[in-house]
Amino acid sequence: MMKRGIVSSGARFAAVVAVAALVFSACGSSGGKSSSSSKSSGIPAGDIKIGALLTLNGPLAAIGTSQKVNDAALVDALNATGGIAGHPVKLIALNDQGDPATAVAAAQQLVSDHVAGVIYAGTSATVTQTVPVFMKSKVPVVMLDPLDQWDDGAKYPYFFDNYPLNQGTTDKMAQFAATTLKATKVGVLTDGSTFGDTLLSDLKKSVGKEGVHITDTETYQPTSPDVTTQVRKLQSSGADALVLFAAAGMGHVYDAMRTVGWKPPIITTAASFFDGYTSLGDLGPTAYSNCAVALQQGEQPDTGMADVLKVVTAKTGVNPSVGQVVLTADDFKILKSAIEQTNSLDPDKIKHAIEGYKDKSFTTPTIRYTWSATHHGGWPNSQMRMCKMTPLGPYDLPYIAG
Amino acid sequence: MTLFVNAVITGIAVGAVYGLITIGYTVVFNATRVFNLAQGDLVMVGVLLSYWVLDVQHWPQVAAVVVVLVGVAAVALVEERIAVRPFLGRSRDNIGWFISTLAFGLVIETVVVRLYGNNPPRPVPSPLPSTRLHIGSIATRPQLLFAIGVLVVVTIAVEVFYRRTWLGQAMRATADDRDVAALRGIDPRRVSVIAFLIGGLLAGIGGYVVAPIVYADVTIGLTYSIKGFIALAIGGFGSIRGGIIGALAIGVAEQLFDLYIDPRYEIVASLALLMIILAVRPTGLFRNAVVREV
Repeated sequence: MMKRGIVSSGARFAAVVAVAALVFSACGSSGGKSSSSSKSSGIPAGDIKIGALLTLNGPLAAIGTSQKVNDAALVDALNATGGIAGHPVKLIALNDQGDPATAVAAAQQLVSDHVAGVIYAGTSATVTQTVPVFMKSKVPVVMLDPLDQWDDGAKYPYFFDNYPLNQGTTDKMAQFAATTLKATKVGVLTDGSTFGDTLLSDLKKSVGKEGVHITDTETYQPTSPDVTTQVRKLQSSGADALVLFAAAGMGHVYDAMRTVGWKPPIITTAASFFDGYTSLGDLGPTAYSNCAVALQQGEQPDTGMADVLKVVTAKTGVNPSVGQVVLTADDFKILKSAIEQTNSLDPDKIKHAIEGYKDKSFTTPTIRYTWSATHHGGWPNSQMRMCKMTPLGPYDLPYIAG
Repeated sequence: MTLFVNAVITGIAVGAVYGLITIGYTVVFNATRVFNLAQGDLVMVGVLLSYWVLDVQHWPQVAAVVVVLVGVAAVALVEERIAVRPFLGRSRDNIGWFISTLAFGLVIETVVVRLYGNNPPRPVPSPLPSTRLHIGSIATRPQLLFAIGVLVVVTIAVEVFYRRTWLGQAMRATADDRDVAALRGIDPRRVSVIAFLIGGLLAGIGGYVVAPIVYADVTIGLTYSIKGFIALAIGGFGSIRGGIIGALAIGVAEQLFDLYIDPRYEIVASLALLMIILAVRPTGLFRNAVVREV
């Protein structure tokens, strides 16, 4: 009894801790994914969850539905090649219904689900409410910045933009109008959405640099059966070209242009590949869109691009909106690269890893990103392009115009 | 001036689209004193059926007419049976049908979304060419003129039905007093079924006619239900001509609002018009106050 009492309480405590450590490490290596744990002990065993907030109801549902199918296909392809650091990827895609309150609740749900990152935090209708939720909870978000609001790395440390800034897009549009189309007077038509209004605001800053003048600005309701009144007003204003900033109802715009008999060149955004594309008809040859993923005339997609497009089109079929999936693939790969590089799901480590990427490509060497601690907009304006909306190339990818 | 004239003409054409919805509302109301808040959704079903027949199955236009009329009428009869009949025959103050028809409309929307998916609105082939028509300085589409023409024909047909046929008069009698009508040998239940059948056929006609104009779009149901209801209120509940005038007035008001004010708030045009009309004539343009002897 006296000899037992000689063993100090501190030594006993240390012994207990040592045994516990041995027990827990044995449990960690034997439960679930033993091979993954042995490869990446910094990442907890089990799936790595990636979140997305998609609009599956309302006028923007066409985009959300397409995204849902694309994302699922990309995740399947990722898991077929080992997932992230040997861990399977689980996509948690929630429907924000295009409603800010629902979107915030869904964002909070993703945070509760402990997602390692988010590859889409909502459209321009909801993203203003959801991004702060993710920033507050330190959840990395890699996606396009629809409102050019979150590229400041100091203010929004966990948001990474991998798409052209709106200002860069409208600068390119204004330059294209002036130099390629020789159109110095443009009329602007929007669908009244935040997306359209933001681009209009940026375009007003861009046109002055190129000597282009906005003759008139009109708005239409996507559910309106006829928009000829607005199109006539734009025609009467003397515009040489029509700039269309809309995410829905484009088919009615094209119908109205044909009714009125006004067929100027159209400058629009990639959203026009999602909605109303089949209604372009005879307006197609003089319709142009900004494009992040495009081919030179006669070119074939490179291996990286083709691999992604093959996987997705196997589920969706070839369609004009499929090119955007290359950027979505980059969203996943940027997070994958950062997680694997740091061997961690720690958001601060992921953040520092992405900030260190300079001139780095992921899916295709034609798209290269550069981020820094202060600037989280990874897409350089030098890569900005305008494309013809018809004809389309392999996988319905657009061709670069001009 | 040209812009003004074109806006008015376009407004009349757009109003004809709303009128095809309003007339269905009126027929059902006149027989049952029920506002079928799913009327716009029935038109939406007609639009989507047109798309399915013409663009997916590639059947001819004649087949589309038959399928759309039969399909929408069938849905209307189902609605009458499960969402309206249980509430008819109860006290005049019972308005349970308000919630049930609204709910039925939401069910329709949900089912349609499941079947069509959240695809973008798709163009529906028209029986008419798409080349624009010029009347002087006015340019329009044949599809819009077709909507106006069909509205005129349907309105005349419905008015003749009410004035010249025994069934039409029986339907009006049932709306005034179901019990008295029953005593006179008119079966109120049968009248209700026929009213919804006719309302469904009118919604089907409306859906087929407006499909090439509005595209296959699953979001239009509630919007058109509301606009049809507003048109009815402007024209006077129960008045066919009033409903049509109300619909045309809304169409013109919206286009003039788009021209001179801001299309972003287009719905304000119809609501403002409604408030003005009701302030001047609380019963609507074409309906007189009903005097009830006590």
